[in-house]
Amino acid sequence: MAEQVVNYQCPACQAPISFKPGVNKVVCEYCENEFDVETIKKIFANKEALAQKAHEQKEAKWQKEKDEEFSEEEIAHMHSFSCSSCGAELVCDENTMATECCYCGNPTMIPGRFSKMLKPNYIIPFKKTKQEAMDALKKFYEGKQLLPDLFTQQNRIEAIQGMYVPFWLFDSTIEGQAIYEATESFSVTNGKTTTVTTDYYNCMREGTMKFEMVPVDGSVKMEDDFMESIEPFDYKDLVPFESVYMTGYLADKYDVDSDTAIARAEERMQESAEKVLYETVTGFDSVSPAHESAIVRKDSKFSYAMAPVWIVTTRFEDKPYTFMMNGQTGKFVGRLPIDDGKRKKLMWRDFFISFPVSCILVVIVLLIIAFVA
Amino acid sequence: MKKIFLILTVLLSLVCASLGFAAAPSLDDGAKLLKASERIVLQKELERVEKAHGIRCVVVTRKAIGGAVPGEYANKLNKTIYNDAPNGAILFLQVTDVRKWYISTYGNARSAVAGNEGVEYMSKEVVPYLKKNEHKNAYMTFAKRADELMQYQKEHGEAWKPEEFGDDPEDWGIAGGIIAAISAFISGWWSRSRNKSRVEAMSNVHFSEAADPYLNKESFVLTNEWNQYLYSTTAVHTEADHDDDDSDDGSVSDSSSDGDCGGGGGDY
Repeated sequence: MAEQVVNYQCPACQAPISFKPGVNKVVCEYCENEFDVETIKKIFANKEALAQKAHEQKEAKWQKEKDEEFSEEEIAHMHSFSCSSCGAELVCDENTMATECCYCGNPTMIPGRFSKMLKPNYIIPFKKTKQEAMDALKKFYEGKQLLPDLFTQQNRIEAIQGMYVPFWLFDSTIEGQAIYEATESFSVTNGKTTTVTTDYYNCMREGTMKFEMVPVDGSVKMEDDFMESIEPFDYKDLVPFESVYMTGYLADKYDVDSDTAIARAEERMQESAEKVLYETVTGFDSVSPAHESAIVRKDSKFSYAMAPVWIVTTRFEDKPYTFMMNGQTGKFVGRLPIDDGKRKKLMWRDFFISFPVSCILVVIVLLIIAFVA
Repeated sequence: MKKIFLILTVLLSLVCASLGFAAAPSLDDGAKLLKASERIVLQKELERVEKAHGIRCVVVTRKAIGGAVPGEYANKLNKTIYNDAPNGAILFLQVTDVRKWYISTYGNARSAVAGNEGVEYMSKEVVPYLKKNEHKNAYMTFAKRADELMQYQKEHGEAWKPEEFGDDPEDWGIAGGIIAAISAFISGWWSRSRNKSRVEAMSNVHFSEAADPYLNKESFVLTNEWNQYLYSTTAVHTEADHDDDDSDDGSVSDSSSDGDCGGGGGDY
């Protein structure tokens, strides 16, 4: 029986191979052979097709089988595969597209998850390495005065994992309309009396503009604020999807569909449209932000892409801290713990340092005022 | 004409004095502003002050002084008629047709009411009464203030002067407190701002509000625009007139000091 999964193994020595960022090649760390993406793609194309068929068979069977020890809900999310390298059973959720065997460490693809609409259109290959992610984490700590001392000493990195995160990319030409309130003031001085007249206007602006590839992450597991924080991705590196790029990394398929994701893209496009239209309200003394706005999408289309993200998980005082790095640009984001004692101490230190300076400044200002008066 | 009238008035006063008045009365209500009973009370008060300090404390009212300058007129009276007390004289003159007042000081009393501050101290309370035509109160207040200034000089050996910043040690305490409070506010604000920025630096995770990086800026076309006038508001600011030296509040605007007399006056 054909395997449902495909282990990308070195054609020369059968050791695990993985996509290496920077050189843009698939390498074998054991025999140090390097292969072009196209070569590996051809070698494993047949294996993937077979694995996909096997997966479809297994899926059909899965629906019939019910293990009494698991609830229906659990079963709905659990899927098992056999590692084609060591034969161990791998269990993962229904969204996993790429993983590694926890027994032999072989990078493992699940091609059945790429089928039909689930297959991504594009992928941005990793450009940043694991070492760069670790360095970025250390750099992220630097200069953080409120970081607990023990965090850097005791903090232990639990995992650094490269992951391809599913993203929806929305292209849309929109027609935006917004109404702003603007004022124009005139003053007339007659002797010692100054009369200021302020005219109020409603200013409507309407225009069309095109947004290209507005990303919205398609994974429930990935926190949206983290995903938006590591933006933007440079789409120059966007290439048609090839599963070979995922070897050596984790990958999930989307579990937030495009219909759901587009709402977030629209919110962001509307915000940008308001700003662009705002800039056209000129010739006034003041213009307030739009109090009414709307957009209408035209010529919309979307694509499905996989974007590279390094996920660094650390643990401090039994609490996990997650950091993420854009695997393409290296933008690093995260939330660090705050030492409340340090926070108070630094605040009081600032107060006592600034107090004498403030006193001197206040005295100087008072003297100037007294002198002028 | 003015000078002739001034000389005639003074000569008349001198004649009157030589005809048997050993000393000119301290109250000369030529404008008839007081009732008889009020004159008696005021006369007594003026005499009390005179006896207490060895001065002449005089109130003179006139309907008109023939266009003479009130200050010069009052000084002349002081030097020629009320010069008989060992410690000098303090004279209050009111001229009703021009609504002017003047306080003239002479001799030692001059030093007790030193400069405009002393005159102003007296007039601040007197002039409001003049405005309300409460003449008795005005003159009684004048007598009281003259008494106070003379008493002050007797006790302190120097003329009264308005308190200035720093005269009272408490001033420094209050100033220090104000400076400390303002400084504490500034330092507190600054340290809180620094603290806030430190806390913000601990996380760079946030939602992106807009899709600006994905906007093709060249694709923007403004298709429609209009500006609709709604309404207007008008605000009028009038600059405060700092040069307006209106002495209605009792401040001193006229001064006719000469070698022997001091003092000051104004309108009411």
